Amino acid sequence: MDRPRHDRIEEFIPLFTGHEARVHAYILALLPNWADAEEVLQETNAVLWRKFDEFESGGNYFAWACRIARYEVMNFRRKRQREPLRFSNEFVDAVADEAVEMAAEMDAQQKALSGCIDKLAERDRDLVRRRYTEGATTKAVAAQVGRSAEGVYKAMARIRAALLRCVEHSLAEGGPA
Amino acid sequence: MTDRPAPHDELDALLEALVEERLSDDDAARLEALVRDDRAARRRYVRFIHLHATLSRQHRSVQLLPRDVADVEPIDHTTAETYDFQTQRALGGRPRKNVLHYAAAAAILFAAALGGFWWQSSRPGNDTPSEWADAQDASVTLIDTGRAEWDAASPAHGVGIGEVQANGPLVLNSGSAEVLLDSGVVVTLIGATAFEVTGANRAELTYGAVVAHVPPGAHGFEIVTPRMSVVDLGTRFGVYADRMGLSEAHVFEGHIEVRDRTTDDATPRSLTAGQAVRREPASRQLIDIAVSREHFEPAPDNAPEVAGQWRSLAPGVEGRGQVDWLAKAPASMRPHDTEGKRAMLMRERSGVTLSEPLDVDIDRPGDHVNTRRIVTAFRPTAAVDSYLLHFDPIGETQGNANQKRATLMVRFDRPILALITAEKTLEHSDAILGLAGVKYNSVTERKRLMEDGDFIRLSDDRRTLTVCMTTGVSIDQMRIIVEAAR
Repeated sequence: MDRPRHDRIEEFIPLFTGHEARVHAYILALLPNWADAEEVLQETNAVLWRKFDEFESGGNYFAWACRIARYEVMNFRRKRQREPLRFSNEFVDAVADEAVEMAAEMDAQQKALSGCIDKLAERDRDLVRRRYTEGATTKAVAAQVGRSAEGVYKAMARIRAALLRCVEHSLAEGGPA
Repeated sequence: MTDRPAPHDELDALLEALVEERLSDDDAARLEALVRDDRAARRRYVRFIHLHATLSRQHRSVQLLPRDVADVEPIDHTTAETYDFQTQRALGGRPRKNVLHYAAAAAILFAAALGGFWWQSSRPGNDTPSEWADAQDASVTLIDTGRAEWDAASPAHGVGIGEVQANGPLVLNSGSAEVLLDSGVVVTLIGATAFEVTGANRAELTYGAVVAHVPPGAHGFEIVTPRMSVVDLGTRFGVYADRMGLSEAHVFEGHIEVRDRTTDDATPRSLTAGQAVRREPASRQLIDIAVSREHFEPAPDNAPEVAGQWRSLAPGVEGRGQVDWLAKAPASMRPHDTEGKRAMLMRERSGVTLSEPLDVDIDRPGDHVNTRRIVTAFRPTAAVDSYLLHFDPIGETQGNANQKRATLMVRFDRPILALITAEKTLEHSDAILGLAGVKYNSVTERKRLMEDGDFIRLSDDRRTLTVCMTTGVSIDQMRIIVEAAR
């Protein structure tokens, strides 16, 4: 397949970098396993560039990227049929449609999250940092902070719930936290 | 924030189990039913996964740009308008010594996105286009590395020691590297770190850890993080920034001046040797902390030590450590047929052209030590040769205490394109890359490499493998796919 013209790269890069996080989240919603989603993201990114000549300037890049990502997810699932798939195609379809509809909301959520993280207690922020560090496990984090693994599971559940509530509250009030 | 019971207790518990990888099959079925049939649950699922993805991306390395994009050069280096990816504005047509590579420019944007929204909003107002252009004239020289693994989009990727690097963000994924700036400042980067020289005596640390050693003539050297400015007053100091807005400065020798970058009226703090401060994301105060070298020590190298010297195993193949060459393929690879104290390497097929993509487990350089399995569809355009590395310890051992280990290195005179290490992918590739007439092992006889203390390192030049194989009752195998010999 021909590559897009070089002069379109200046159009592609801001769109790509501006939307990649949301495309990643979209793939993770359809394929809720980090390693699998990362693999599909890499393939999707490559296809987005290869097919960029098919994207009309000024169009809805996120919607276009999601269509390609959805195809790549289904392709990945087809290849994996030798192994049992956890969720059905109906589940993937339902989530895919909903996630595209919620695009604007997720954009606002991402912006609001920064303020919500700032509102966490330092101890909770520290726990989030440790837990989400690449390669970290709950057991390792528990050992680092001197708590039980179960205690860290519960704390992370409480923190994520608090962040979701904060984001929802912020969006209901019409602005970042 | 206050905690109160949420109206989605069951759904939230399932979502927590999902992201913590504790979801049972029954739980998965229940989660699917809730999300598929109830729109409110579906929307909460999307919100929750989005939150999890955002938090994860702020702390992990994620694929930056498609490789094809990173390969694209600007249209005309001397006459085309240069493009400022920070402001997304054209800067004018001034010819430049070093043109910002597109991938590197995207890395700035991407690193900023990873660093959080405050980074974009708190960039100093004096990053003018002219300063940006000046930065293109500054250069850095790589003077030492410690198993440095650069991001493929970083201009330092592929640069040798002593070579001058093109300008742009130095994105180090792991290991350490030492660079010399024009001013004489020596900066040690400890991965994962994104660092960029932005002026004659100024640099930016987007995330990660650096130690600066500043000679007398370069006093005043400044390192900025998203929220902190550290100015040298004759010293050796370390600066650390995480991707959530936390910054720290540690003074090892001499003294420095630190100020908060997010307020105009911040009073600078002077620190001397043995002192350190931290700037929390939510606080506008610099907090005194104990000076520490924790962030500034490279992560330990997990590669096993391989004893012995390199020796020739076969034309184009060398080995070191516990590996021998199996010149004649046995009729059977089944348990007990090929037992030995050491691993064995044998040639399989030569000059194979794959007619369809083949599932492989590893197709990129680096250390592969965890149990996570990412199968990649592999289809090289040129023909390949295949080799099998096989380890079946003598006797039937059981339990971890009786496991046997083989530690070895093999080196090829051609690039290693991919590795197959898992039971299923090995079985699938037996028919394509295995030898006709050899009875290969069943899935149950083979053990997946990359677990139980196994270690695989594929060198950056793709020619050397370092392997630690540990097994007991099962057989450890790896199929090595290399470029076909000419």
